[in-house]
Amino acid sequence: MLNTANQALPPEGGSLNHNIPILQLVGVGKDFAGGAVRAVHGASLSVRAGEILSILGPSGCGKSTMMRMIAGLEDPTEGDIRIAGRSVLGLPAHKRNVGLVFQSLAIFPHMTVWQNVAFGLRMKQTPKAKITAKVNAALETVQLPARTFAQRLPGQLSGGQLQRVALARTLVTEPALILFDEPMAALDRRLRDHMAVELRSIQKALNIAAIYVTHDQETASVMSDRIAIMNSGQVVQVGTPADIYRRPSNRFVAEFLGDVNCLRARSQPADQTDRPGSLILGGAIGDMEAGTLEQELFFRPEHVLLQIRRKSPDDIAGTIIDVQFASGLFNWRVRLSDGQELVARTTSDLAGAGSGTAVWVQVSPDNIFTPQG
Amino acid sequence: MRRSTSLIGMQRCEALIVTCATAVILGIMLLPIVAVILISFTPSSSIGFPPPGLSLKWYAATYDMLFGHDADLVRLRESLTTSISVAGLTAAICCFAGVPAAYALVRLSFRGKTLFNELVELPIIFPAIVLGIALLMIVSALPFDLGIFQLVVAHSIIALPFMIRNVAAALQGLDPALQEAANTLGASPLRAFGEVVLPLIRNGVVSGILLVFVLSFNEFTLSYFLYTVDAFPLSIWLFQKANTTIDPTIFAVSTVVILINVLVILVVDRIAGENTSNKLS
Repeated sequence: MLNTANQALPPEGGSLNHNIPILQLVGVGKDFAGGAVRAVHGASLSVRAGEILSILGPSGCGKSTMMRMIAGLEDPTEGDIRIAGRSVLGLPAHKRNVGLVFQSLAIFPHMTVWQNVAFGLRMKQTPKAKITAKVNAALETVQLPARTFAQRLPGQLSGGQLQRVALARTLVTEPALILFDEPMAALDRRLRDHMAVELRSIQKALNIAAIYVTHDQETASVMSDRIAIMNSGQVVQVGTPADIYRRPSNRFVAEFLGDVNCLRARSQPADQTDRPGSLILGGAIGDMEAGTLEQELFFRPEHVLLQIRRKSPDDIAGTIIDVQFASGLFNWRVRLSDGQELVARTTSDLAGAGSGTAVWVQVSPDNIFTPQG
Repeated sequence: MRRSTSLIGMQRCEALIVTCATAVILGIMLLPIVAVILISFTPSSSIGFPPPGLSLKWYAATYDMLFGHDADLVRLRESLTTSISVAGLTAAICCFAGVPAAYALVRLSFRGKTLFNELVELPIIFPAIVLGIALLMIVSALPFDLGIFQLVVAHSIIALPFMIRNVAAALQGLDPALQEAANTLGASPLRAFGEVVLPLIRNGVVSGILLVFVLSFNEFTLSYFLYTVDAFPLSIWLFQKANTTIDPTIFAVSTVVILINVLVILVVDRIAGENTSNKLS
């Protein structure tokens, strides 16, 4: 099943070489039902030491399958998975040293908090004295003092506390890499945000490589150094949260990461204007030259500058048709003179403007992206 | 207003019908058992219902048969020992075969799983008489004597589905991630099963074992085909005794059998109750 990509790569170096990522996926694919269902295909990724990477995508995009393949709970049908530069294909889960925090947390209900956290160490034949010290330290790290919680059963803990037990149980085995499978999906928004920040600070303090799988783009942005966007079994784009937000590679990514405006516009050839290659929103300004290229332009609502008075000849005329106030921001729905609509987000109330007010719209070319596909 | 009164009237009528029907069905079900128990306390040596008085005479006779030294009576003691041994061995075999089979059916996917599932359930609906004849043919063709094991094998065939069903139900209620979590924490599949899965399905396994024990202990049809002088279970003893001399001793023995059954059912119920309350918390 090893594909030819393996041979094309340089030979493996020392396993502790800092240039080698902790985790490397090379063209990984997974078919189910004898090839009838392609859950993942051609996925390539890498995670460096101390880095936290989120795999973000809608449900059914293959992100969970990918994580299970990394943990050794599923075997890929193609490609290679390397941990610290060494291929782990065929290595069973219990020999991979990859930690996994499950969505259901999977805390052993018949064991106390202490027994849950000590489980991994016991499986690795750690001496008793060492187990005691390490379990204490792990419980300390996740702020569950052993004195209070060690002897409790999982049934006596809250969702947030169970979360901490699951984290401590994984941390204590000192895995090369920790995977999180949306373990906070069941928590409420406020607690989830709190846990996300805490999880990140623990991960940074211990300098562990981590992958956080989620469909919640906000949590992903808060937690991660980089985000990998997945859609229908493929890794679509990898980059920092800000990067991906500002320069999405396609329409799916743009829409998945937040609200986005899409307007049709025509580009004006360089020789016909004093501002070379400038983009003009279709029909908004004067007459268009025949034969110019029509294109879709994308930009975020917060990048739209909305003004009551015209400040530049480039401004486009529009009319407010609706306004909503949410999370401290005004969301204006504006209809342009050519009939296209957009949403603008501002902190000001535009001196009490409302439905029917005439406004001028401006979008800086820096904030406009034209993704393919 | 009138409409709602008539609705309440209808509900009362319905409740009355349901209560009556339940009482009649329960009565029919319980009457023979109650009759057996009452007759076992009769002071007379003939069987009549209702008994003319109450005495422990036939229990004393049963006690003598079990613990006395009269050669004719030793049969009862032997048959009770045989029944308990056969039930115990059947329970052990069903446990060792049933737990892995249930695990395979619930957790693994393999070719012919549907067929396997059907085959496992087959003995529940298969006529015991046909199975008895078939087993008798096989056993008589064998060049050696199986002793009580010919009963153990027969009972295991019909009891195994109940074991598998019980364990499978317990497994289905278990989050598969628990085992995977144990794997990612360094436990081999076998270790994960022993440390995590088995303790959590323990109640299902124990109630399965008790159920199989009772099924084997009460079994008659297969035993009737397969019993020998050396493998002579209690059910056959009771049958033969009832066929030859009807005296109230068999009612006393039957009452003891009923008592054993009720005890096991109570234990199973208790375990099942524990299981559900565990899952709720």
